Amino acid sequence: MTQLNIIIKKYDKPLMIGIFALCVIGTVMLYSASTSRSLNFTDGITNTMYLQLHLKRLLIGVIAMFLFVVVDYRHLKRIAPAAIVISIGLLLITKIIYVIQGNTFPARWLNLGLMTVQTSDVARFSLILFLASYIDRKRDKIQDYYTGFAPPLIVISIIAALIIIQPDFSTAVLLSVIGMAMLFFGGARFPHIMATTAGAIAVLIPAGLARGYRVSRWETWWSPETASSDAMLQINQSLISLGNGGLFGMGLGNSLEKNLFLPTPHTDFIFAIIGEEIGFLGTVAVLTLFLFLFQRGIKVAKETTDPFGVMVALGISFSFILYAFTNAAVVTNLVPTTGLPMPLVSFGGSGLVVNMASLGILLNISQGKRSVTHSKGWSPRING
Amino acid sequence: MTKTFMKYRSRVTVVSSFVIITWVVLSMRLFQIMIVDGDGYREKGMAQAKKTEPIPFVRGNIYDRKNRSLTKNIIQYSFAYVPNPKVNPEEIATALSGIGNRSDDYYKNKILHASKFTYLERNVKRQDCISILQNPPEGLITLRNPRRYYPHLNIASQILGLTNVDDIGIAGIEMQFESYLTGENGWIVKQKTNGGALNPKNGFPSKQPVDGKNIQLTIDLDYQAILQAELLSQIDRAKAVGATGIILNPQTGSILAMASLPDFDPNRPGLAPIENQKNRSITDQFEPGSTFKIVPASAALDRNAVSLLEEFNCENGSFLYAGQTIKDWEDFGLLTFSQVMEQSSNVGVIKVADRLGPNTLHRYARDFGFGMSTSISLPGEVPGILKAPKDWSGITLAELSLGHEVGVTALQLALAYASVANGGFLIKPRIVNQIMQTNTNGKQTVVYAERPEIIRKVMPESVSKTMRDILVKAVDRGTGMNAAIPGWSVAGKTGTAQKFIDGKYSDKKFISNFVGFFPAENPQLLAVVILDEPAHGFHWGGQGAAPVFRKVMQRIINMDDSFKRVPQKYNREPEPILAEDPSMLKKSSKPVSPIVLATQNFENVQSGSGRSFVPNVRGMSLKKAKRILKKRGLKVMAEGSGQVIWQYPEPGTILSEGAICKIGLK
Repeated sequence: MTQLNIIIKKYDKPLMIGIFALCVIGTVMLYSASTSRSLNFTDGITNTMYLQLHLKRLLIGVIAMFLFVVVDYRHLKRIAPAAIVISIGLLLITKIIYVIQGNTFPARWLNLGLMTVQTSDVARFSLILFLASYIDRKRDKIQDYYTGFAPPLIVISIIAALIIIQPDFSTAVLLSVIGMAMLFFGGARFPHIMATTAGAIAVLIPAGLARGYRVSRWETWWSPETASSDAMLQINQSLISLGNGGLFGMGLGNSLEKNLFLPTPHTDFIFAIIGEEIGFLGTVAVLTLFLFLFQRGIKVAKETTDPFGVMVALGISFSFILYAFTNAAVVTNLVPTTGLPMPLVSFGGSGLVVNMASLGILLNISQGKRSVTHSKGWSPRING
Repeated sequence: MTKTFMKYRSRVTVVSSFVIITWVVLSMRLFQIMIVDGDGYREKGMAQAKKTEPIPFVRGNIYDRKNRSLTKNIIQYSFAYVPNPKVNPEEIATALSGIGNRSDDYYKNKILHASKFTYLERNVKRQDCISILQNPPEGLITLRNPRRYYPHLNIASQILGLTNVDDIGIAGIEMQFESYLTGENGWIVKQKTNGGALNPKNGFPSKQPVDGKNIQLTIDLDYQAILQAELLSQIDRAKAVGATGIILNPQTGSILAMASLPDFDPNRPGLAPIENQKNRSITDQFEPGSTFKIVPASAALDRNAVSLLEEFNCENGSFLYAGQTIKDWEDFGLLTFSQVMEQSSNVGVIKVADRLGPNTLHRYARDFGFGMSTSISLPGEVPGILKAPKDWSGITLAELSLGHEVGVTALQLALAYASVANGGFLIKPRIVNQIMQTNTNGKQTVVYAERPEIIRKVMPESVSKTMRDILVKAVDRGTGMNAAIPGWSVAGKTGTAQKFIDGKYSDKKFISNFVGFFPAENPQLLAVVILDEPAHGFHWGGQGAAPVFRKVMQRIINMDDSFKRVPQKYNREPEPILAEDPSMLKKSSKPVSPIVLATQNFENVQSGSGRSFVPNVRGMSLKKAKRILKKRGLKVMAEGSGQVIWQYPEPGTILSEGAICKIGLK
């Protein structure tokens, strides 16, 4: 009994509760948002198709989280370089397979038999581990441009470039932002970061405008009145969803927009359905929950003695909040429409598993500080 | 906080602050969208996600006076098409050609030329399109709509009229009372999906439809059917081109039956020429001939210009008046005023009319309602023609008194005779008894009713009484003998008019007509029968039209037990039976019910009296009816097979033993 108490006490309890709450809210909202699509997809046979898939993936996600909770995160430091090589390999293989098969849709997914993996999710996971271990290794040398700052920049650029050619522009931008943020946390110099950012924008804008649909999304965002109705559709429906919700929402299951008006109610625009069904208060509560998880992540980092652990915790927390808030910004038309999921809430297999695994790592890191104060019961190797 | 973290602290704080600012910005943005601008978005959202669907009302039905429905509303299907490049026209055309009437090419053409929503086929019965309903081809739009159906087909078709493809009345009662029959569509708001499917949802507003109001006519379905059947058989027999008939109650003006033949089936109006839809009783005028003679006769009696027993020299059937020779159908010598009417002597009537002068004759003709609309609530009524005296030529007085140079409708003629029958009142005709509205609580209220209405007094009671006596004699021993019904006192007058064709009176084409009513002491039924262009022989009113009157009335008497029989004054011998039956003594002053007579009171008094009561055998099998009638000592003549539907004489009549009793079976 004391053993169980210790195990529970070991980990950051509010963080666990926050993750659990988000999973529950996510599952309920996903079910509500996907019923109509499910009925439409299965010709009226079931409204739980997406729910069933989501629950299966959630189960895999929980297993992954559990694995990373029990396995000491410091082993990850060793496999980080290998992980980044594997990620780059996966990105390449995916693109090559798609080119060979002559597929026209984006080369974002790789079928591994058991489940389809979005390779950029794996790349994000690997990138965080790689940068954390790199910063841990270099410490203050990161301030030197050629020996410290440039190598990780090259890795980030390669990954971003491979994701852009999938094509998945917004994920590439987000991964670059995560990378730059971690370098920033790690102590890179401001001029380096500013110059790199300026250079990246100079490169990314032409790349971004290379595709017609992105141009029209920009136009839609910039001047909704003049944009074509097709480009307007998604964002208009999203705003109508939110407007329908009002202060308290229309009640769970009562969304009108999910009935095939909003094109992707269960993935990228699930936040709009949340707004429609549980209202302004509901959306703010969800955003606050994300903010809470972020702050808990920072707190975990704060109380960790291991620089690698600090960097991993910061990277995971930041990527989590970045995805969530970017998604909310898209739904509220603060930034141009892109297909980014809301972590743990949107329907999407590998993203869910990777996020659960990341949170598992975060929990695992959180046990370190306990061992300092409660060293009698359990003694992990610290400061190793 | 660990020492390790101290190094990162400031930079983490920067990013953390940035995240919190983002949280604030997002929350404010959400507040703007959801609360500040929420109404605008909500309006847009409701407009696209909800659809108001109509709930169709049920058109009011039309009933006869005994609340038997003359109309029904059935569900029919319409098929439509909206241009859509994905649709295969061949498939739709093939499916629709299965309905029957039209070929593939017709539909293909229609589909290819459609530039917007187009009906391909409308108002198809379910059984005709069941295969399409079960297995609809892609792109074909199926619509359910209520549709009028007339269960009695041709019966009363011209009175009821019909509705067009949109179920709006375009003739008859359907048109006249469209505003009552039509209702108000309700609506329901349903949730719409982008795919177009609609789902009803709790809590969404709706409004129940207001159904149309039901109309109860004064028409009696049985009377109408009898009238149409008898007119039809007389058309066959007399080779006439058409026939018109009206039955009404002369006391109240209620029209009980009104028929024009040839008629049409309102369910399939295309099968008969459109003229058949006319209600000729009110839309067609004709020169009535001798039936008009009641006008000069009543006028003369009212003005005391003649006395009943005054004799007129009928000049042996040939009389020169205003330069023209007037002829009689037979060469009459001296006739009393009454006989002039009984025998319908033209010469005699002209001499009577001559005493009145043009103005008086015209005034009485107007008082009888000629030349004016009767304001019946049916569309298409004509007022007829009655020339003012200043437009008359020298011969007009004579022609008018004989029922020529005047255009009357069958209904005007019926109402003129009704004033004779009811004691001198011109009454307004009634076709609608009442219109009922069913309220939401299920109660019915009357929203429209036509009450018996007197227009004017045409003559005093004494004159009408004298006229009735004359008309009874005209049937008993004058021209109308074929209209006599044994056991009843019938009053009536025949008319035989030459048709006015191409500026002169034809001697080949006639209108044979008869107006009669009975029982003469207390008239309850009045009928007009008009035959158009019957073959020679039937052209006489007494030969062509009068027998129809008799047959119709006999069938009505036999069928309708509610029809009250008043003890006759004419030629009635004292009934020996009455003294023997105590119950009859009490009831003797009241009308007696034939059923009571036949089944209860006379069961034991028949044998050996030499007279027999006719029992009621209606509804029985032939065998049983024969056995019962034979037991009464009556001979049986049966027509048809099945159950007895009519018998003649009617139950309760007293016959001598060995008399023949006719029964009809069906």
